[in-house]
Amino acid sequence: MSDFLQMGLTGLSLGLMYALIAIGLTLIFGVMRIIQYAHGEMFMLGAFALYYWHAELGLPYWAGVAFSAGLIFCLGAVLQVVLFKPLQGKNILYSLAVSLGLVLIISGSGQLLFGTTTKGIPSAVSGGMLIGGAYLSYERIVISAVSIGLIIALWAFLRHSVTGFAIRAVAEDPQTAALQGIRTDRIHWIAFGIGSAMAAIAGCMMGTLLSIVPTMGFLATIKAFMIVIMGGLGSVIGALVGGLILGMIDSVITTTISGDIAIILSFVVIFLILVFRPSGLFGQNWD
Amino acid sequence: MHELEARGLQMKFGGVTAIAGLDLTVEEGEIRGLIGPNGAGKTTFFNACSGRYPVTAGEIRYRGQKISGMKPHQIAAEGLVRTFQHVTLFKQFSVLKNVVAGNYLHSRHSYWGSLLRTRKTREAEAGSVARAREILDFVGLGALMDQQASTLAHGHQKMLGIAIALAAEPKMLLLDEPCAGMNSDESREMIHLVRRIRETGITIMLIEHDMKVVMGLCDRITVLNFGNEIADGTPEAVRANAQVREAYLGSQAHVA
Amino acid sequence: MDKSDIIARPNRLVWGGLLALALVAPALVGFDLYMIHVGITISFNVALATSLWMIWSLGVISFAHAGFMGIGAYASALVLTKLGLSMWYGLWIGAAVSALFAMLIAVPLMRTRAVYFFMASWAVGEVIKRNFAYFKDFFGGWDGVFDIKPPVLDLGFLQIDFANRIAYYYLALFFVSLTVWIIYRMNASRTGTIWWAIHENELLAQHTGINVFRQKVVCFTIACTLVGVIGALYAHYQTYISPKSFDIWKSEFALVHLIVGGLTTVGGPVAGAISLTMVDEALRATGYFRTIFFGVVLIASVLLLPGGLETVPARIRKLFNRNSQK
Repeated sequence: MSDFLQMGLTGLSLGLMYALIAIGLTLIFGVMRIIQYAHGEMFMLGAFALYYWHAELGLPYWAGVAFSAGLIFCLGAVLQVVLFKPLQGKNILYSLAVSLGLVLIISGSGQLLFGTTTKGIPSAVSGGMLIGGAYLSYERIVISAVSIGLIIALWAFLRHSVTGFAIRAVAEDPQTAALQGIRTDRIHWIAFGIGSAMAAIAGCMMGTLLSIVPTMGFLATIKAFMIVIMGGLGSVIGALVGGLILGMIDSVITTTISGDIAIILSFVVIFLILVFRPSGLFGQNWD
Repeated sequence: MHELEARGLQMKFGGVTAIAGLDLTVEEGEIRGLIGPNGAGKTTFFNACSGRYPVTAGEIRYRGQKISGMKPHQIAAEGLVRTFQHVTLFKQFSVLKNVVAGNYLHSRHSYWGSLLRTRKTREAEAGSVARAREILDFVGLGALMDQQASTLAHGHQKMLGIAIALAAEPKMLLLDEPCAGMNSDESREMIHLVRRIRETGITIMLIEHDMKVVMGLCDRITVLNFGNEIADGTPEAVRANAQVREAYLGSQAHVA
Repeated sequence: MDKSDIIARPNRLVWGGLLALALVAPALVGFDLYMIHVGITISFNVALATSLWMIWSLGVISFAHAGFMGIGAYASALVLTKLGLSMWYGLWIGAAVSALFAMLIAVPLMRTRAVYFFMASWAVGEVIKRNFAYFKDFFGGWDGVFDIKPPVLDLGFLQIDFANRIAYYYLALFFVSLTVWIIYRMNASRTGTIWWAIHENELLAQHTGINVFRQKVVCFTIACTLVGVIGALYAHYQTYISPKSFDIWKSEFALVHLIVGGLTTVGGPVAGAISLTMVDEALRATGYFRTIFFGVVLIASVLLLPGGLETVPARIRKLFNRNSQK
């Protein structure tokens, strides 16, 4: 029983972090219709920003998370304006190629600048508690709470703010949104920045819980894509649900059967979802 | 035997009923108009006939053969071919290549032939190109043969849409608003073209909003409203029909 | 007929020149073994990119392409290591196995569309790769398969041992030229017109009587068969394969070759694969900077040369025309 509880709790906190990364990716796709393959690199850079801020310079942890988010927001916005804007309206393959180039550049430079050894970010809180025989560190609780808080904040932002409304309008129908006076160019870089910042924060969390290495971005990209496919491209709710599902699969099957099977199974599930529900669980049909 | 026959046809999408139990027959050689207010189910009827969407209930027969349940390419092979309301072309192809692609059904095709460029394949290809030129001359696009389809004027694009359909050598054509978005000169040209197509022995059913076009062109007219047939008859009879007047007054246009 | 674009006019001079250059290339580099290795790598990449381009003529890109190359490679390698049959058998068995799997997978895969096809094919590619890794006893796990000997051709009066790199270069060149020729011919024919018609407008293609689903399955299967042969050649050249040889990056690089080369003619992937493989090899000396530079070259060519290398001749012509008008 306590094993299951342990797996459930681990799966939940893992799932929330996955969801953070995936929501960023799905936001970017929804607004710009591009496949941002370098999304995981934003996650990696976010983690390293916090590492240098907190572990190397000894500055406060939470300020570091905010710094990391801000930095990656700016990076994302700049990348959008410089690299992706000129490709707007062209075949999706071109933006895919550019983001592939970004993956090569960022992960290559990462290995060069940060070194290839594994590093850890010291945690801000310590200790833990036992719930029904399952151990739960305060760190994990705080991190899950932050993830939930961020997801709620993003949801509220999209629902209730003017900019959030504009983002949703552009995602729904770019032409009509532009006709109604929404400056889609501005929305594009804002959404790209926010999406990247979400990945950066997830990187900070994951980096604190586990460890960081410059090649960690690729796996994050893969997970984010798996989630986004499950939930449906462009759907925030879908990304949340997909993240939680994948977190549970990862936690349960990896501990009970094997990691290899978990990955093969999740890819088979994704394939089947795409074949029988071609636009994901919550997605719409993008043509 | 009727050319086209729908019996108890129903089309539902989710909870929305687009066509509710339609009975309709079209005879060989006629030009049949299909009119009705927006959302009456006209295009849905074409979608059902061409196999684009599956029918919910009832059946459609073409020359006695049941076609509901068949795939679009099978229905086209039976000789029932449609055009689309919005300009639908192979946009990056030249005008000629558009029509050659449309001639697929009647040009011998084999993968080995393509690879080895056998004599049969070359002959079939030459035949296909010759036929495409004929069709383009017939619809009046002969001079624009080498232009890219996307660069044509709107009216010419609609014409090309019909040329592609003709290349499939249909026995019956379903034309979805052939004159939509055309000026009066282009419209007149299109009406003339539709008449000439009928003279070659092809049965035609067309959806059209412009009443002048419909009344002047069609032998018989079927009027749909809310997925049901409310009238069917000669243009004069339909014009005099009170129910039709009501349906149209309730929506957008007067019956001329 | 020859004036129309039905049969795209072959630029025989360019193709012939390229082939002639490829034939004398080993002599030009003074039979330098490293340079010949680069030549063989170029050949494989050309075949990979061109066959991917064939799938692109339907309007989609398959990220499972390297996976099917892997199926061909593993089939041929295992036929040798388990059954003792040389590559002359493995080549065809690899192609057949790849074709079989391609056909089986294409049936569900072709139900998906546009961006979802990318994703689904990516899942297929990952499953293929991870199956190689998972079934350790059969496929050798992450360690892969070793000792895949190159074949020997015994003509009675002449024996060619393809362990010789120069001999292998010509073997690879033969098969790659064949692949490009097949794809070129298919594309320039009725079949190509049908596939591009589906690419342009699937709905219209269907309603003019084209069995779109069947055409898609056939095209995908042919492309995967061709790449299966290349996979077998790759295995017997490297003499060692592992799941990592056929991961998503290989498909992605093929895509990059397409995009940098150009998407509308068969010359595009050929030009892209040749030039980018050479760039990649030239950057080898820069060590760590290699991937970074490659990324820069990639982004720069997408942004600065839209349409890819295949548009270069037209650009030059335009430049000349402008100058002559002045």
